[in-house]
Amino acid sequence: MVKVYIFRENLKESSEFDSFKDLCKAHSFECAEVIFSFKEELDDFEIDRKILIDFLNNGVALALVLKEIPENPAVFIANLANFRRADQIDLLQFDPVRRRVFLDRNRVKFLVENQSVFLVRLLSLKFFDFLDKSANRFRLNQSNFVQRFKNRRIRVLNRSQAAIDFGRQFSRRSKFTSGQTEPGCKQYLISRTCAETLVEFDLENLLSSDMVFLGVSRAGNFRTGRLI
Amino acid sequence: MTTSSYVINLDSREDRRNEFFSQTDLIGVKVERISAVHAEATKNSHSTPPGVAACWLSHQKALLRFLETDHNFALIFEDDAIFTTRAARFILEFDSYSKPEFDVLQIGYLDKRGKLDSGARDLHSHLKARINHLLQKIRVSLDSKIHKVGSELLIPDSFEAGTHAYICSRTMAQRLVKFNVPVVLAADLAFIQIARSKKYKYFRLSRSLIGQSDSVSSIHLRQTT
Repeated sequence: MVKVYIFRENLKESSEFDSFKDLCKAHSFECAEVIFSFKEELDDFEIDRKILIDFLNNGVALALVLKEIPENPAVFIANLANFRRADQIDLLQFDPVRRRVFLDRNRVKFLVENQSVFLVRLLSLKFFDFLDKSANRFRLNQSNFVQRFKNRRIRVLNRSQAAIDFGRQFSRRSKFTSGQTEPGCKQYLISRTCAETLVEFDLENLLSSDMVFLGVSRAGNFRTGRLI
Repeated sequence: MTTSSYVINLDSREDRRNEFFSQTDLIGVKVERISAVHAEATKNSHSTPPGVAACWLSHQKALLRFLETDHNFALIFEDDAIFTTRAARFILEFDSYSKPEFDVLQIGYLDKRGKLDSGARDLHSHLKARINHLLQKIRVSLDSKIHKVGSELLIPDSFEAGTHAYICSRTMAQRLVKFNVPVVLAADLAFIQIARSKKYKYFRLSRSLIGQSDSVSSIHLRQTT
């Protein structure tokens, strides 16, 4: 079960907000409004902490925090309702990709976002079958180096395929990049395990909300990633 | 304005202790040794590996010791710091320099991301470092407000990988001793994230003055013992 937290600016009427809330209810998601007064509050982790405390006091397995309403609300909520493997992740960012100024960075981003697809295609090449057969023929299979190489290839292949499958659980066109959360984390799904750690974290308020999530992702202690 | 210096060192790492103090004795800097927190003491109570948690807790121990004194700044070293001649002059004259108000100033960091900076440079990384330095100078000169300590240029809101040499103000130390417990972020990642949050005045020198020796990492040792 997922509880959806939707942000709403204080004293602001919004038909977009109301229709999104109705959409969530239509798909049987439990909803909660989070009222904020200033845009700056969204960068303060204290507002996230309040949500996480409420979430932990609630019986649901996951919380979806939306500081911004998704671009295609109907599609997003329909995909979320069919998302069956959300329990395999601790922190999942949904924000759309922001294109940067530099062309080379976009190229890198394209490669990073599609790394699982490329790795699966590369490691499934017939060339590797040929290498396997040759290793068998010349009895190189017992060598530690060959064994390590084979095991590593299988491990990377399985991991990349799992990442592709995970992304497709949300929608056919979604891509999942493991551990690649980006600044500007305004739409995220969080597990109870991760929330339990974060409610106690940075009580001194040294970090912005973005840097908390980015730090947790870079630290590698939780299963994190981005879905685009 | 006065500065006190501390070095974090595990009781078992006598090799590093000797190497570190042989350098500081030569320069003439007085550094107090802080016995590092052992990984055993941190097991099962943090979400990071025990060695990583122990490293952050050791930095907090050094900062707590600093807060017992009446100095304005703490210069914190890890025991694998390697000093250059420029570093020696910078440290010795730091108190006399005019400097911008800051919370943390990083004076040593990893030049090659993810690799230990052993001081020995090949031609490729040397050229890369020179170009990087030039670009940083241009970036700083385009900035309307140029920050400097002595002759060293500062990069604002920046902290690079590596916590083997940095200077911390008293007010920031008071905040840091309570931060990141239970440990979620590794020491350098914690500093990087605070710098990027831009809530406090974090700077780093435009070039690293202090490298890291390539002796076996204590964090690895802490995980296996």
